Amino acid sequence: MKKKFDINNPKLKENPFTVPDGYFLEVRSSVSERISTGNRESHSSVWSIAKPQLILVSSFVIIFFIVYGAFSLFSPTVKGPEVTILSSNSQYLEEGFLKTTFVDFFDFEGDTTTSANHKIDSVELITYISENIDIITLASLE
Amino acid sequence: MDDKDLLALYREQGKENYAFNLIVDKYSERLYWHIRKLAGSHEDANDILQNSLIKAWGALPQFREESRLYTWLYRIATNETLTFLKRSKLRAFFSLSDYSKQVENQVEADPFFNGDEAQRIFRKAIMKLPDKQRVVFTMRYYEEMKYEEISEILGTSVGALKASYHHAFQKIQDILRESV
Repeated sequence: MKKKFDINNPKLKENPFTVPDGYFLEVRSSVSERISTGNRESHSSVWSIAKPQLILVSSFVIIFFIVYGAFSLFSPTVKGPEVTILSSNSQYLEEGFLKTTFVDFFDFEGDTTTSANHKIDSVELITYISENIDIITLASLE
Repeated sequence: MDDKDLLALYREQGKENYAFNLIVDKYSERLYWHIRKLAGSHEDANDILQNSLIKAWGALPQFREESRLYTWLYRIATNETLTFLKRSKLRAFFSLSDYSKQVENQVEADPFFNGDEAQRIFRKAIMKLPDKQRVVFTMRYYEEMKYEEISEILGTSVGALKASYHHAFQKIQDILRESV
């Protein structure tokens, strides 16, 4: 059963607190001591409360920038250096080596301008193998 | 010794410390109970009281007796308590802890609480009030101060204080109705 709470009950107006024995005698000496030592109240403002948290957040931000900086500095950039080479060595453009990847660089067949120059005739290839068969065999044995 | 004599003694050359000690003796207990009912724990009340008295010591040379010494000391103690409560809330906010839970635990675990269960529930309800309403409620309910007196201390109009007390009273009744 719920008990009805009477806010006007005089018992509630009584002081429910106590203090340690001899506390009020100590107050005077504590205050006098603080006054004589010039120990004024430590001004703990919003800043002093938030300081540890702000330091923590700032250190995270600094670490993030260091890691980000390191990554952007040491990660391989694809376009940057290539553009520089191409612009300073225009002969590559003329020879048809305008490639963006390492694989494409060796893909002669796919390159219409260069494939004609580098095509090996099959007859030529057979002649070469028959003439140098011993060397090839020896090389494969090793 | 009345306040006028105490202040006259304070203004005598070389008697500042002695006079101030007498002021501390005369008012520290009343100020302590006022602070304790607002702040809750003994440790907090002790810190606030000492800070208030040290502030009073620093400001006493500028005290022009436009208000009574007791009222002036009460104002310093009340402001100091409100600042302390604000700081505690900020501290709880930055440490990501629940301030109202903290206050509730403080009432539960207070080794210097001598009341019965009804008083404990009542204290918890008071501690749930907004700071300024708690100040008005405590001064009126526990200390039975007149609105004019509270107005002088807090610098708030009597009408606003009456409204504040009424709201606080209603809120406490609501909280008690829910918790009992």
